[in-house]
Amino acid sequence: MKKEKLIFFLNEGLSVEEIPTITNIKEIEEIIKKVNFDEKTSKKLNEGLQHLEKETINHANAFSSMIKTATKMK
Amino acid sequence: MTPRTELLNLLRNQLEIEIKSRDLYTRFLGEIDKADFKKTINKIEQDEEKHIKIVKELIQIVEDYGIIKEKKIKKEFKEKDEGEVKTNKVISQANSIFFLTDLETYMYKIKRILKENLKEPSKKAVYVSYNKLPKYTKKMFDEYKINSNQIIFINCVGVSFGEDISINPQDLTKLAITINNTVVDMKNPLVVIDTVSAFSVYHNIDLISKFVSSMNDSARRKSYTLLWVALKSEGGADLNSKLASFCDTVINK
Repeated sequence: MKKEKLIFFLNEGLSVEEIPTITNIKEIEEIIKKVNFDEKTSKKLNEGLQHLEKETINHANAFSSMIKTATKMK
Repeated sequence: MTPRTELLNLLRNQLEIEIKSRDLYTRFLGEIDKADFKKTINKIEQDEEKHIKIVKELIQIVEDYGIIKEKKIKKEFKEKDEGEVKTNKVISQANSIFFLTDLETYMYKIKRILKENLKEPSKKAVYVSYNKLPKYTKKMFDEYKINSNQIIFINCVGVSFGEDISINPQDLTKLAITINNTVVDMKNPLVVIDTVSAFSVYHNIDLISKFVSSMNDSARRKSYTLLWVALKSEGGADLNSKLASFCDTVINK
């Protein structure tokens, strides 16, 4: 695969993680804060979201790191 | 729309995002031949499969939940965040703003800033997407009811998208000329750089600093506002500290 195409793919992966995924998780977190769920439900929802958020950030960092490596490839 | 419906809509949207991400990475795995990249993407694809399961569970929890006190929530939704008001005031008064934020919330904040800034239909903005595909940014803006027709998109991912302007990420001179030509017929536009942190993939600190400093001078002379979005990270601390010193205002949130 050509370097340019590889970098394009990696940019697309980064875009997916940083734009719709993380932003939508943040929107959900904000709405949950404003809804009067009981403590147990609120905890369950937040734990699930925190897990998604943590792994999504790891994915974005992984794509950034691959982009850096790919730009240095000959 | 009730908050419960809004929450369910967002969760269903999240499910769709996770499914599309998994499918995208499945496609990547069929096309990318670099072994170490494949290994990393394979792990990410497996994570997305887990995310699909988690989001389905979250939807079920909300669907099964009893009555939500909606009156109180509706009132709270109408109240505007004090921080947002301050940020928008700062943006309207400066020519160059260094907006230091985090990966978790930066796009969430940018879309709010743009929505506020483009309230008047005559207002325009330029959006420089340095390392991300504009199709995702545009879709998100559409969902948030930001009129993309008021925004000129410049992308630096090396591939053309429709009417967007495409610039090679290594060619900062061309990027500078393009931004300055694009704002010529606009009245006090906002130029968002998403993100200046990504410049470091292709350029060193000195070159990025010269670019930022020179663009800030242009913004002052040509009466536009530059919003340099920068992400907080240990590796980027030196760059952020240096670039912040070139800007009229620093917003750190």
